Amino acid sequence: MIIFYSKKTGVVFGVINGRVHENSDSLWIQPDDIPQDNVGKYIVPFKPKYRVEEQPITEMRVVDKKTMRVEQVVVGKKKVKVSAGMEPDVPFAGLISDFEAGKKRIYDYKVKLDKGEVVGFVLK
Amino acid sequence: MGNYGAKISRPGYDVKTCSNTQLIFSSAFETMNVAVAGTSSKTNSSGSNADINFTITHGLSFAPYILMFYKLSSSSSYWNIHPGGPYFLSDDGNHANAHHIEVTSSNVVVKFFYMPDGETIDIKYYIFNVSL
Repeated sequence: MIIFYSKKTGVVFGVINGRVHENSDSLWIQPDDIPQDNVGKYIVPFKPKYRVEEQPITEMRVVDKKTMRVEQVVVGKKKVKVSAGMEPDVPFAGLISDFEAGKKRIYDYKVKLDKGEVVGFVLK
Repeated sequence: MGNYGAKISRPGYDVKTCSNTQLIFSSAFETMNVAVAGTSSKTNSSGSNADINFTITHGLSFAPYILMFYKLSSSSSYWNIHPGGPYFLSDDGNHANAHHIEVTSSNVVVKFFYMPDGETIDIKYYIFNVSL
């Protein structure tokens, strides 16, 4: 997600969806009444998310000695770290996720800036 | 590379020999995948009627197919498909509510003419990875 806002007022006026942008440098949104120098561009960092799940340990074993039939049988359980998608790598991750999911309207918010860096969002 | 890809046939047809119309999917079919998608919003707070324009720099090297919807705060219960242009005149023949889109190999410029004071325009856009 790339968020475009006014550096002067913090008002958000544009969003580019997605987590990975091969050409993020060249992407830009600008209303005609905001000079280019006053347009802020915030690329939301994302990180992989994992969860631990229990998976069966299986082995191939002979289950019928007469016919020597072999089957895969469960012999135990193991805990495995598996991917659970991506999540925003920021302290206000919940809000970003709500924007992405359409639960909250990003245009009802302004970016909160500290020394020119986006540190959060506040309702307009 | 030789013949490669993925296909799924309709029930009852052999995927290896059936025709394209008997497939429900083939990676060889030309599809319009989305290159850039997003939203934008702007309120006319100028105190009088004014044009509202957005420029979206898409980062593609060609003029792409686009699809755009807009919603006005004064009629916020539905989305309109953007007519694209060149001009969409209102019933009284003026340029009020006349909107158009200009597509180049650099930008998509979306124009909303003569928006009333206080009107908010929300847009949703899809820019496809296919050249016009």
